[in-house]
Formats: sequence, structure tokens, C-alpha cells
Amino acid sequence: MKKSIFRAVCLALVLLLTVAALTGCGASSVSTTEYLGTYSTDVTSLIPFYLPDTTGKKVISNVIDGLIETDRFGSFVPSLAESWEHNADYSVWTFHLRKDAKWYDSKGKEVAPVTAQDFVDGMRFVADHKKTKSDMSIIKSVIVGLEDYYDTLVDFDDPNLAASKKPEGPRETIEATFDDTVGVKALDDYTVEYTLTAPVPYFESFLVTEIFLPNHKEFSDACGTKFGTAPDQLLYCGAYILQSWQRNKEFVLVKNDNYYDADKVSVKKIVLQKITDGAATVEMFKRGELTGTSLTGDQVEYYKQDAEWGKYVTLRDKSSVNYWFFMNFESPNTEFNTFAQNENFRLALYHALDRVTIAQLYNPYDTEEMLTNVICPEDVCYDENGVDYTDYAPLKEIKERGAGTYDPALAKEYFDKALAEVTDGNGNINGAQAGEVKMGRTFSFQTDGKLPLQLVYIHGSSSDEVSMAQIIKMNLEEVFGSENVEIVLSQFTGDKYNDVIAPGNFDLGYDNYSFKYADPLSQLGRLVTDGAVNDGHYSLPEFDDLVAQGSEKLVVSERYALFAQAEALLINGGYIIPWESGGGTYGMTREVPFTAPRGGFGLSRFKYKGMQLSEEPISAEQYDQLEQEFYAELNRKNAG
Amino acid sequence: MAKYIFKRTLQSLLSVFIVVFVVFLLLRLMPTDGYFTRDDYQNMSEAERQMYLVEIGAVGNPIKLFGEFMGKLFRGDLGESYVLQPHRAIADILAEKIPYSLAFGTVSMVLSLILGLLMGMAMAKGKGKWPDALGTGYVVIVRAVPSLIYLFLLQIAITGLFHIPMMFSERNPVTWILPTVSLSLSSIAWYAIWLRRFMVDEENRDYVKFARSKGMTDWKLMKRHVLRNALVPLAQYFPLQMLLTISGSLVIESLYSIPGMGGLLVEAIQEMDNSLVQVLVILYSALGVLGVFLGDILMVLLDPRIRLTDKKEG
Amino acid sequence: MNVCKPNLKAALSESLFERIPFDPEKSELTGYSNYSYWQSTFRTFFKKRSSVLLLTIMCAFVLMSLLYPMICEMIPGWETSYRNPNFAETGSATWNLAPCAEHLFGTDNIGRDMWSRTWYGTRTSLLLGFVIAFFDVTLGTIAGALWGYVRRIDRFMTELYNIVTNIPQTVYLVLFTYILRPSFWTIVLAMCLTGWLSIARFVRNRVVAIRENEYNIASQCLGTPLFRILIKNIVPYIVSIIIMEVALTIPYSIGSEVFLSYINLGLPLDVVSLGNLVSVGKNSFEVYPFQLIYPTIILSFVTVSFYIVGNRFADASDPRNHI
Repeated sequence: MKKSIFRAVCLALVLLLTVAALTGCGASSVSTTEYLGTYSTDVTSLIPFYLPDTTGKKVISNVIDGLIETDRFGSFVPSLAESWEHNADYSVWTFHLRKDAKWYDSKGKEVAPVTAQDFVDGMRFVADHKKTKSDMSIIKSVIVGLEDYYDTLVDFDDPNLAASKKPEGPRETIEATFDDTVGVKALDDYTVEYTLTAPVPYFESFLVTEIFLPNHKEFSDACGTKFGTAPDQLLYCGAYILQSWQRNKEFVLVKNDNYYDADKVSVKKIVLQKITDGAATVEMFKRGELTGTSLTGDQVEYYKQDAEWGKYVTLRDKSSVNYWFFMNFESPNTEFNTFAQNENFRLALYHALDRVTIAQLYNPYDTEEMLTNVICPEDVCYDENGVDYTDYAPLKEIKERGAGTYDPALAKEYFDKALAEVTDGNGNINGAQAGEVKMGRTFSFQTDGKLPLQLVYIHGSSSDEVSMAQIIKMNLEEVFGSENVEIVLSQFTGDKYNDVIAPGNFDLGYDNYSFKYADPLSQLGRLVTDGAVNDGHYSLPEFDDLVAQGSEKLVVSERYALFAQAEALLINGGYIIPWESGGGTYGMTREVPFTAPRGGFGLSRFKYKGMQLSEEPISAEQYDQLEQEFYAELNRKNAG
Repeated sequence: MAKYIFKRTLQSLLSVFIVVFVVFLLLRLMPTDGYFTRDDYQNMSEAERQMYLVEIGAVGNPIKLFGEFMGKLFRGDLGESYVLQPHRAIADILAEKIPYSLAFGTVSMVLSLILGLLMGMAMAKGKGKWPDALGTGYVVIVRAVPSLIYLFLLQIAITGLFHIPMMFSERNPVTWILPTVSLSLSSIAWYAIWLRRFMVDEENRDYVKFARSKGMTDWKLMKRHVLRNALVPLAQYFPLQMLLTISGSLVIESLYSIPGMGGLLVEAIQEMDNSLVQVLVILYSALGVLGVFLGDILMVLLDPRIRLTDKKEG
Repeated sequence: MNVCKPNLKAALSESLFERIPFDPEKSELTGYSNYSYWQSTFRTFFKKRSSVLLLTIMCAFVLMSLLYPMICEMIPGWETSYRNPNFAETGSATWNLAPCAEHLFGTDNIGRDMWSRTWYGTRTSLLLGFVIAFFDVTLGTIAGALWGYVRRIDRFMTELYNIVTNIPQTVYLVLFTYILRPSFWTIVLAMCLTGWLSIARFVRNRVVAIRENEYNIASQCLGTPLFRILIKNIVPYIVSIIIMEVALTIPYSIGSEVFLSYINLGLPLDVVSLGNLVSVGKNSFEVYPFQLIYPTIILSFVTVSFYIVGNRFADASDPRNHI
């Protein structure tokens, strides 16, 4: 009898599942007004002014608007600001706000109109280090009085500063100086004026970042420290309202029907689910539970040959993030140190890396298109004549090398020259000593001061990075011969910047670098001697000069000419080895391409405003066709 | 009895206190630069970084900090998380997550008890024949093969076969079934083996033979006598198991995307959210201690032969 | 009462009895049974044919995982097949190949031979399991024996046990991985820390059961040092536990290793181990299922056989089963 009870219970379970499946079957139709997306890293807080990862950007860009945004062609168009102008030398910018924008709470109830004062208060919020972390360094020196105000507050709060050095309190007094000293003013209810410390022709590209968002001071003061911790602790003026946020689970955004541009918004609901298990997203997409999915290198290989799904595999646009390799000019490894200072060796390395095979790990098809030979991204910076920055003379030539930078014979030639210069012919490396090299807390190895050159390549602990490291090792040892070069692989486990780059515990490594605003200075300015992303700590005075000269020019084409020269210097001297662009991953999606806003940086590119969804997944043919139409239109716009 | 309870409570509190203190010190051994990213180094000056570290309690006199922490705890204030969910009360975070783990855990415990005992009975009855072999096969696979593997394969197979969504979703009750069943698989094996062994042992006991000779059916025999005796030693672990379901299963919760307590501790340690880690450690150790304690008391209530205050230390 | 009393003297005549002469040798013979604990244990264990089969499988796998890497090291070019991808000649053409004649288990995502990787991985995982078992059992047995026998430390050890087992194991694992580097020995350290206490407790319970036996008291009276008592009297009773624990720790440690790998706290990914293979294979399961299936099959064989053998041995070493 108990056996039969056992059987009965099992049968019941199976029946339950089947019934549920049958009833559930009909319900899973694909909707064209709901976007079902995913995210993998959780946000810790939704304070709109600090969004270090894409998840936060995805949410905030849709619920809070800024002064301007980009349209689907990537041009700046009005958002909360109807129109704007600047003075002759680009140092004072005035924005006229639209009069019908309002703040709403998480239930969709109207709270207050959006006024110019909100933009002043937004800057005020960001400038107070106690309220939030932020990407201040970009704008600190750009807006008049901001740096002083910010630093004064920091000094005031610093417990370690001697009382005599501290500014006079109380804090409220210092806070009150904001209105008089900082260069952002509300001229009237609907006019905002920004005063800059120097001419900045590309100021608009700052305005799409999260630092320039408005803030309703009354509300954020009332929330206190809870501001941004839950949907009801935020106000919304964007196309969507954050209806619910279940931590580690999902975000739900619903269209705000009272939005001033509501007729341009066709996606009515956005659900972003947290999925840590990458393998599950493709399955879910196939079953209609997700609007789109990205594909890893292995998955692309497989699905392209799949009879049913092969035609839906499409390639995304490249992003403005660039990856490059850098080497350590101050390495504790004395063998490498000698070689690094030698230009022939650096060029040998430049020509020895088979970037195509390495990148095939991630992109088995169209790999060459993903490679980049320059530091600043293509398709982002245009001069006043519509010419792309990367098409300027020295860079254009570098770009056209394509994948041909991989030239083993040439690499060996350079390497032999280097050997002649830094070794004494008997295998002893000049200036290198035998001994123990310690890199970091737990990694050390022995060097003997002779060939083979021991080169430490640093990599992360994910399986892709480990595979990539193996490939690089085989690649370089084959080109140079393992009697000349030995690649030592070192894995870091903590944080790349803190454990590897800052202390200099590496010889060769790579990283990805984002592009902060629409001018080459955003990257080149950080690559000068002691620059923020000059991870190799090289020093090239000519480069520094060219960059300084370029930054002073006001005419964009003059700037670009000088910057292009500087960048070419860096690449042709082997100081930096550009590798590939970010983005450009494969995926399958039901999102109609080129309908959502486009852009290389900032928040606009994450907006769903204007996005169209289709019931069937987009096929590669459809994508190509739409792409052609899009670029044709883009060129017409740029020409006309 | 009261004296015993008092003594035990004191001992338990002491253990929990020591545990928390040790973990507190261990956390202070973690490097503080792990709190900052590359951009943070660019945007924040040394002074700002120091102020941030002080605010989250990562630097400072450990003894003093510990004292403050315990003081707040006694007043019922669990504090705020600083890194994982900044400015959010830990009590809120827990209140949000515990219900999921508790619900799944309790239901799966009941399910595994029922199924496990049934399976155990079937195995004992059919000893040496196919039910026993099948049951043993099941038990071996579940205990020997790493759970990640069969749970993952099960998820793919069942959701594919029955067209159920892969991820847990509160709005869709169908998605509640598979995680619960998966969670109970291992316990079913445990209960089945326990009951089988117990029943085989009891077969030769006098009271069983006597009841049989009086004409009692097997089923009634199981229900009235054997099962009750089998449950008593098991009962010792029930309170502990129930309380520990709060800690959630990391594997199941991450496979099905359930926002429960499972991954919280690991994430909190990795992100070095000290205040959250401390509260969680206190919570789990307190639950552990309480569970054992309740289990002992339950045993005494169920089996009159057991005395807790036995003079013989044994 | 008229009781019938048999006339014994008449019924039992002398002829019914025979006189046996005195034999000094035979008079020394005492009753004995040729029961030997270990013989009985092994006999009971081997009674089932499946035990023999499983034991053979177990040994075969262990041997294979030990010998295959050694053979590989001796044949030039073979030792790279698990470590380095076949870069020069074929590049990405060897990536993700399905099982074929040349690659019995296929290749992984950068062309490394899965067959060799699986065996190297089994070796690493088994090594990990044995090392953990060794430390756990040695420490645990000594501590447990002392704990059970020496009454004074009982209170202290019980408290220690309660405290250490109350700290969730994840805390140890994550903390150690952060402070030290994730490596073979970090995992061994983290897993041994709580393991030995559980074994100690188990041993302690057994010791307590036999502590009061007369021969122990006799030894004490005779002044035998504690150490000798432990070794000669107590330990033989727990050898069976030791063997069982070793056999059961293997599946447990492999299971933990897979779990740790899943939450990214396992062995570094350039070390080949079953946990890493499963973890990486799981991600490409939908497109290349063989990358998960083959390591899983080998892993399951290993764990299942160790588990069953361990349990069978535990049953066989229980004197109640020696029929």
C-alpha cells in the first residue's frame, strides 16, 4: 500500500507539471510593446549621479532626462532643453528649457514642474562629496568655481586636517557659497547658464552624462540618505517610471503616458531580469522569454550553422570602448626593463601579436572587423567638415594596416636589431641582474639576466582570459623562438587596477578604456606622462607637447590635426599596441536595429525611447538592409 | 530543567559571541584598497578615500568598533549595509530575502520527509528486490555526484520538456515547483536511507514480532510503532534544519535566479561589506545554536527515557 | 507423596563409561574461535560481487589518472596536448572539435585535447581528495582519541567544536581565498579546518563507548602510558572508521571543489581539475554538450565507486554483520 502511495505522489507531481505546462503554453506569446532584457551586475544604489556600471545607466537614462540627448543618428537633439546657444569663444552656454516637463513619483503622480533651478541643484548635489561618489574629475576643472567649492567641502570634512588649515565653518555657510561662486546659474525659471573656465567646443558631449542631470532638491533633502535606495525614493522626468525594483532580481519600468514626448515611445514596459548564468539567456531567448541575447564566441560558431536559428545571428555595432596592450616601463623585472626601453623591441612586439587568432576566441567570424589600430574610437569625433578624426592623415595610414600588423618576419627583424642593441652577443642582457623578482604579494620568479627574456603577461581568472593568455604565450614564443623569449603567465585574482596596474606588477597586459566625451583629448589627455590611463608609465615629451598644443586650439580641425600627429607618435613608437574595439558582439534580437538612440558615450545610447520591437527575430539579411538604409540617410544628413 | 536551560543559554551566547568576534577580526585582515576602483582613484583624493573608509567602518580601532557594533545590536539596530546596498537598513534587506528561502526550504523539507519516508519504506519492504535496488541507485547518485551537475541537467531537461520558464518568477506559480523539488532531492535520499536502515534493524525486535503474531497488518505496524520510533532520533535535527533553511541554497538560488539569502553571504564577503557579513554570521550561528538547543528539548519531550541533566557526563 | 525415584546406581553401570588417560598437551588446549576481525570484514565485503567490480573500477581509474600523465610526459608533444593549444599549425580549426578518432573526448574552446585534460583533472582532484582525507583523518583521529579518552579536555573540545562548526564554512573559504591566493593548498586548508573536527567527534563517540571496558582500566592500573593505551587498545577499533572516512572524503571533496569552482572560489583555471572542467563545460553545454558530459561521466564513476566502496566497507567492518 505504501508503494502505491509513493507512486501516487510521483504521478501527481508529473500531472501537475504537465497541466501547468499546457496552461502556460498558450501564454508565452511575444509582445511587441514589452522589452524583456537582462543584466548581470547589480546596482548598489540608484543615485542618478553615480552610475559606474551599465545596469544603472540603463535604468536612469530612461527615467530621468537631461538637457539634451542623442537621436538615432547620434546627433544632439533637444530633450528637456528646447534650444541652446553659446557665446563666441564657447565658454558660456545657455539653455532654454521646455515649459511642459514635470517630475513624477513612482506611482505616476505629478509632483512638480522641472525648472532651471533643478539643474543648479543637480550640480550642487554632485559637488558635495558626502552626498555621492561621482565622476567629478572630468568636469571639476571645466566649470568655474566648481573645483574650489568641491575641495573646500572636502577639506572642511577631513578629520585629519589641522584646524588651522581648515576653512571656516559652519558647513551651511560653505554650501551657500555655491550659488555665488560656481558657474551654473538659473537665470529664470526656464533658463540655465553654464560658465566654463576655458573654451570647450565639445561641451554638449558632457551634457549627456549623468553628472548633468537635474535634481529636485526638496525631494532629495526629504529622502536624506535613503535617496536612490528604492523606487519611491526617486522622482522621474523621463519617458518611463521605475515601477518596481527587486534587488538581485529585476527592474520594472513602465511608460509614463504624461511624458511630453509620449507619442515617440512605443515600448510600453521594460522588464530587466538579473541573470548571472550566461548559458541560460540563449535558451530563454529561443523560447520567447527574452527580447534579445548576446552570444559568446563558442555559441556563435554553433548557431551560425544551426538550420533554424542561423539566419538570426547578427553583429552589433562597435562601441566607443577600445582595448589595447601596454607594457611596463618601470617593471621590477630587470630583464624586461631593458628591453622595454628599446624601440625596436617594442615594434617587434607590435608586429608579433597575432591579434586575429586571439580575438577569434570572442568573435570567430568577422574577426578582422573588430580589430582597431588606433587609440580613439572611429565614428565618434567629427570635425566641422564632417571628417572623422580617425581619417586624419597619420591615423588613416595606420588604420589601413588592418590585420596586417601581424608580420612574423618583420617582427623577427626588429627583434634581432633589438638583441644587437641590448645584449652583448653572448646572451647576457645589459643592465639585467640575476635574482628574484617579486610581483605582488604572492607571485615571484627567478631571473638570470640572460636570454631567454622572461616576460610576465598578466591576466585575469575567468576562463576566457586564461585561454587568451595561453594563446598569447604560444603566439609570442613561436614568433621569437622560445630560446629568446619565455612568456611567464601570472594570474591576478583581486582587482586589476589595485593589485596589478597601480603597483606595477606586470610586464605586459591589456585593458579596456572608455571614451568619456566627444574629443580625442578625453583619451589622449590621460595618456601623457603620469596621465591617468598611462598604465605603462612611459614618458614621451614630444607627445605631451603636441597634446598640449592641440588642446588649446579652438578650431576643431586644427585640434584634430595635432592630436592625430600625437596619437601616431604613440602607436608608431610602440608605446601602446591597440587591439580591438568593444561592442561588436554577436547576438540575436527582436529589437529593430537603428531605431533606438545612438551614441558613443553618456546615457542616451541606453534609452529605449523610439525603439521598435518586432515579433520575429531580426534576420541577418534584414539587418544588412536596414544598415544600408541607415548609413545612406546618415551620410545625407552629414552632407546636407 | 530551568537551571539546565539557563546554563545552556549562557553557553550558547558565549559561543556565538566568540564566533562573531573571530569573524570580525578576520574581516579586518582584508586589504582596504579593494573598496576602490580605478575611477575612484581618479575622482577621490586621499582624504576623501580615508573618510569613506572611516564611514564604512573598515579602519579604526577594532575593539572600539566591535563595542559599538555590539551596543547597537543589543538595542535591536542591525545597522546599515555600506557597500552592497548603501544606506539601506540590514533589517530591510533580510526581511526582503528571508521569506523566499524560508518558503522554499520549509516546503521542500516537508516534501522530502514525506517522499523520503515513503521511499525508505518501499526499500525496506522490497529489500533485495527491485525497489531496493532502484532506491539505492537513486541515493548513490544524489549523494555521490556533485549536486550542481544533476540539478543543472534537471533544470534544462524539465524546463525543456514541459515548456516551463527557466527562471523563477513570483508571478508565475509554475516556476515554483521545480526549485522546491530540486531542493528536496538530497534530503529525500537521506531520509530514505535512514528509514530503511532503521526498519531493517527493527524487524528483529520483539515488539514487532509480537504485534505481527497478534495479526496486525504491516501498514498499521509501520504507522503505529515503527515510524514513531524512527522519527524520534530524526526529530532532533528538525528544528536545526528548519532554522537553517533561512540560509538558503546557493546553487539552487543562482540556477533559478531566486532573490533569497543563498548568495548573500558570499557576495557580502567578496564586496567586503563588513557590517552585513557580521550580521549574517551572528544570524547563522545563533540559528545553529538555537536549532541544536530546540532539538535537544524536542527529544526530551518525545522520548521519556532521555534525560538531559544526566549526572554521567559520558 | 509417592515419587518415582529412578534407581541411579542400578541404571548407570560402569560399562557406560570409559576412562581417558591424562595428556599434558591436550590439557592445555582451550576453546577458541578462529574469528579474526579483519578476515571477517574482508570476507563480508567481498561477498557481493559488485563490491569487487567497483573496487576494480576504482583502482583502475586511480591508476589511469596516475599513469596517463606520466606516459604523456614521456612522449614529446603529448604533454602539451592538455596544456597548450595547437596554435602554430592549425590555429582555430582545432577548437571545439567533437569526439573523433584523434581526440577521444573532443577538444575544448582553444583546441586542447579533452581526453588528456580529463585524466589530468582526475589526478588533480583525486590528489586534492586524498590530501584532505589524509590531514582530516590523521588530525581527527588523534584529536578524537584524545578527546574521548582524556576526560578533562572534553568540555573544552565540545565548546571548540560548537564554535568552529557554527561559523558557516563559506566564511572560511572566501576569507582564505582573499587573504591567500586561491590555490591547491588554500582549498585544502579551508576544507580541513572543519573536517577534522567532525571526524574527531565521530571517533570520540566510539572511544567513549569502549573507554570503560575492563581491559582499559587494567592497563591504566598497570601504569601504561596514555599514548601506548591509545595506540594498542583504542586505535584498532577505529581503523575501520578511518578507512571508511578516507573513502567517503573523496566524493565529498570533489563535490566541494565543483561547488567552489561554480562560485569562482575554486582552483585557478589554469590548473586542470574536474571541478574546473565541469564549471567551464557547463557554460557551453547547450552548444557543445560533450565538453560537460565526458568529464561528468568520469567524475561520477569516481565518486560513485568511492562512495559505494566506502559505505560497503563501513557495513562490513561493523561486527554485527559478520555472519
